[in-house]
Amino acid sequence: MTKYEFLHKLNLELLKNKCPDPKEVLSYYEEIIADAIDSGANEETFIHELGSVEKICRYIQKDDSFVEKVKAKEPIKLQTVFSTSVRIIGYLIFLWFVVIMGSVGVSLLASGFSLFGFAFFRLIQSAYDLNAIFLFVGLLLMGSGIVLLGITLFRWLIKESRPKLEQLLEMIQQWIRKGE
Amino acid sequence: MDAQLKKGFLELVVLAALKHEDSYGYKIIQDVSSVMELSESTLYPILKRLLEQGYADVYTTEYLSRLRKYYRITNRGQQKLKEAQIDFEEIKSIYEFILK
Repeated sequence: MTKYEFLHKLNLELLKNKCPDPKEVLSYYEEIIADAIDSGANEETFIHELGSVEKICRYIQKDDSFVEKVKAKEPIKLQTVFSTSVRIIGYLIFLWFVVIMGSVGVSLLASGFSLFGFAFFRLIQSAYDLNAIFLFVGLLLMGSGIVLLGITLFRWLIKESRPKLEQLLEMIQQWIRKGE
Repeated sequence: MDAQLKKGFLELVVLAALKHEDSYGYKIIQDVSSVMELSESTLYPILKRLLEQGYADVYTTEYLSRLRKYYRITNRGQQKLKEAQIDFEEIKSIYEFILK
């Protein structure tokens, strides 16, 4: 990813999540990347090492809410315990949902490919039978449609689940670190 | 190092990086990395807090036809480092007690 692509993506993410001071954040990252390149770093490698824009945005939000809580001196202990249990339940439901949707996606792809293959070979075999040609062309299209549906479902699932899975991994990493 | 303990030290480490000369984001990371792991996403909120608390201030200078932000430690920041030195002595004695 180039510097401009990264900054564009970061800008969209900051606006989407209503992160505080988006212009300031962008100018900070723009400067850091420019300085890294001037020091001889490879642009794409450096940007890759910065991590995903979703992660950067989450980090800023997390820090901001932490500062706000400290400023307000909120009694956050009970709230933290409560929110942790809610988060664990949420993640379990989310994982269950991902597994179910993933299975649906695999089934769609498998059945779509089977139908497509079946229709394709039968179509070749019945080259002179007009009725069969209509039937198998129909099945061929149906098979393609199901495969496309499966691919769309997978793409949607990856897009939606990636940030949540990253969050989950981050949380597990934190637990492991705490346990060490 | 424990994450909470590290978090407590990070502000001081960044402040110490500004002790002898004004510096900019990328250089601060490079300087600090010899003693502590500090990522770009971690540095941003730390700098923001240091500015908000008045421990550092910022000015912009032109560098290679672009603008670069330089961070400078304030008197309050210097004071904070001195206080940290006193705290360190206390922490040191606690550690000595733990490890005894």
